[in-house]
Amino acid sequence: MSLKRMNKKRYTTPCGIDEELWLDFSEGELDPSLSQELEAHLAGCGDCQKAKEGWSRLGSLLRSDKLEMPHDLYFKKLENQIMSKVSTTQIEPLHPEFAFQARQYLVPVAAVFVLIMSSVFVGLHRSPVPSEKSVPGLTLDERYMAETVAGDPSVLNEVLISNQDEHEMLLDVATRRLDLMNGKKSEETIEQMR
Amino acid sequence: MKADFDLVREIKAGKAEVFGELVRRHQRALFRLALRFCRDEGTAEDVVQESFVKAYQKLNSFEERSSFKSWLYRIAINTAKNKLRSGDHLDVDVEDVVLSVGSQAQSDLESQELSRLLGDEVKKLPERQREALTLRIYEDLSFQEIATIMGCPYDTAKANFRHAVLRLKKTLSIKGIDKLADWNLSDGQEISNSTNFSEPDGD
Repeated sequence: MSLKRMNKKRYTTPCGIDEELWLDFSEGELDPSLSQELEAHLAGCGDCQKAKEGWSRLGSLLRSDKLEMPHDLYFKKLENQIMSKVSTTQIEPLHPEFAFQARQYLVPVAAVFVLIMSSVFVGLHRSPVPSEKSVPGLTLDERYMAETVAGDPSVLNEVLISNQDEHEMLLDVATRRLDLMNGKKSEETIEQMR
Repeated sequence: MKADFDLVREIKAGKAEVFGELVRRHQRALFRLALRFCRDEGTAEDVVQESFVKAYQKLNSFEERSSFKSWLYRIAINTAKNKLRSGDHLDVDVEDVVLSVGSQAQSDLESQELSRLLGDEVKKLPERQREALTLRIYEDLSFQEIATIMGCPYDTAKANFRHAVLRLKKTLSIKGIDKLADWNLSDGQEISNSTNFSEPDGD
């Protein structure tokens, strides 16, 4: 570990050491090896000596504030009052029957929960439609259907299907596909004739 | 002397009078804690009484996963907060909860002024930071105990304390109070990307 290792900190001493280290140091919360490193640095760094002194004084001032506590007699009276109230009340039962009944449903509820979460997980991780097949105006399912009907991404992309309902979109895709097939067949026929 | 856990088991077994021993052991600390939060002896006394009664009633839910003292502190802090929020007190506002500073006679005017200023700044801390500061500074609890009482992870408790002290330090430096006290708190240099740093000051 390094004395300058910590990021996400607000202040550093002029020599670059994070001042929060001094707080951890004074609260005994610093890693022992880092404490030794810090002490060694402290011996030769006036800025850090001042920083450490500042933390110590702040801590001392906060801790020096002692509340004036009432006399023992006050607490004797307080104890009597508390015990008087306690004597008129009962320790509440834990309702073991309810706990037992709730436990019975724990496994089925957990199973359903896992099932739902699995479905959500699978749904979220379904492979998205490739960008070349993505057509505006379609839901994910519609795109898959269109892809199946079209058989070819280029066919799908050439069909205007924005703002259509599913039926119209499929019809357009199928028509376009048929046109292409017919066109191809015609070309083959012409080629054969030649 | 029997441990708190043993006393709790005896009470659960039907010896209600043993609860008095737990009250004797913890009432002073609980009163001090409540006074830090409420600033008013009468309110603090109410908080202590209510906390012990609640603890007794809910004793079956105490599962010995933390110390009895930590469990009791948690009840007391929640009770104090609820009491302050409900307005069931004279003049203490929940947004104005302060760790009472300066209640002890100070040796000189400068110390009094310093305590007053520090108290004002402590008052402005976010609630969670103030809780962590109180429990650490005034109750001298470990961060693990503070985490248990605050119902948060260890690192969160520590971070809340750290940010409370850092905020105090920064404010005192800005106001020049560190100079008044002959401190040297303003030597630090702010790192430019510090705006991305998030403080755990919420619930």
